[in-house]
Amino acid sequence: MDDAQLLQFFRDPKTRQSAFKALLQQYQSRVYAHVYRMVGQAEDAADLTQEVFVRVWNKLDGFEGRSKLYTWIYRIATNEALAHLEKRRRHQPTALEESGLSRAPEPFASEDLDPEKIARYLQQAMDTLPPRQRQVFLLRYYEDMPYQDMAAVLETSEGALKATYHHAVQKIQKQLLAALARLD
Amino acid sequence: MKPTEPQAPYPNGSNPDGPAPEIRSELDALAPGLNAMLDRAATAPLPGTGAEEQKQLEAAILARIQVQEPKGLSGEGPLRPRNHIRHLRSWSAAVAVVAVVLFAGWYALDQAGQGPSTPNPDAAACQSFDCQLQRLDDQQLSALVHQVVWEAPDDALLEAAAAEVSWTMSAEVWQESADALLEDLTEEELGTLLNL
Repeated sequence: MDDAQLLQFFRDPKTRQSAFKALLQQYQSRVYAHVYRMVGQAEDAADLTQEVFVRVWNKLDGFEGRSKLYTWIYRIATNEALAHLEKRRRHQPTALEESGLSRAPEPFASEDLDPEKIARYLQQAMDTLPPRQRQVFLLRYYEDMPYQDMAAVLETSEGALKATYHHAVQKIQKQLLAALARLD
Repeated sequence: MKPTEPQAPYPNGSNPDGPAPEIRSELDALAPGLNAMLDRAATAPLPGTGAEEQKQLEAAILARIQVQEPKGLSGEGPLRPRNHIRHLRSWSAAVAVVAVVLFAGWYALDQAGQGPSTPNPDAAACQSFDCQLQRLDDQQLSALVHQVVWEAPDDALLEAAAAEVSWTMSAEVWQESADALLEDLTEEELGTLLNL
């Protein structure tokens, strides 16, 4: 079902629920993955994904189609995740340190080739990025989002986004490639 | 460094085959070798992405919107425990915010030499957000704040308000819809309301 059909069905009270279920099937896991990578905790990601789709339900009637539907949903998801990160920072300024997330990843040993461990180190590396750099990296690398679309989502220029992406990649590279070199 | 062909599917991204070639090339230019590492990490499932967990999440979302729809308001429903706590916290804090807003309105009216029982009858003379806010009655104001709190919660602000004010309001008042009041508000005005 494409966006136009989905919106058409959503706006018809008789097919509203089924259209929303179709929307969930189409976007829920992607939104969850995006939010998880932003916040780094599964339970928080699930809570935030709920909030995102409740907002989508409430606001979808007003969606004017000036962007793609997924861009609009990702904008909501990104804003929810950023607000959560800001709240976490304000309420628990030392939480990251306590959880070890702010530490640089531990050096990789050869047995750390286990993908789950690498994924965990990668998440830790992403958690050390400032929220803006993190979201730009996620949208670009995992969502294949063109800079033009990102500029619409994040309300900034393409040049600024490219610079931000560059900085994010450099920081992740700094933490992970040293380990990769040891593995080679 | 290794070539950057995808080594594994990316089940949790928007593209199951992994990043598009141009994005991989871009990353290669910026950070040679990082593609290979990210490919390997992508073979590990993200926590919470199992079929059963996603099914439960979908059920939780559907339960919330189905309960919410008849009232057209605040997403009340069978919340998961953590959301329930958050909901209660926002609820009590929202009461405090209403008290703050009401006090601000009364104070402003008092300073202007008007009583709240004699609102400006000339709507055209009251175009500003602040002015219109002061003209709202208790029910309108509470509904508005309820809606704002639900749509744009700011726990830190609300908790700070809750610490300052103790105030109660009947549950019925909270059920009033604020949709009409919200239609013309900009994000800045909502921010103003939350920061009163």
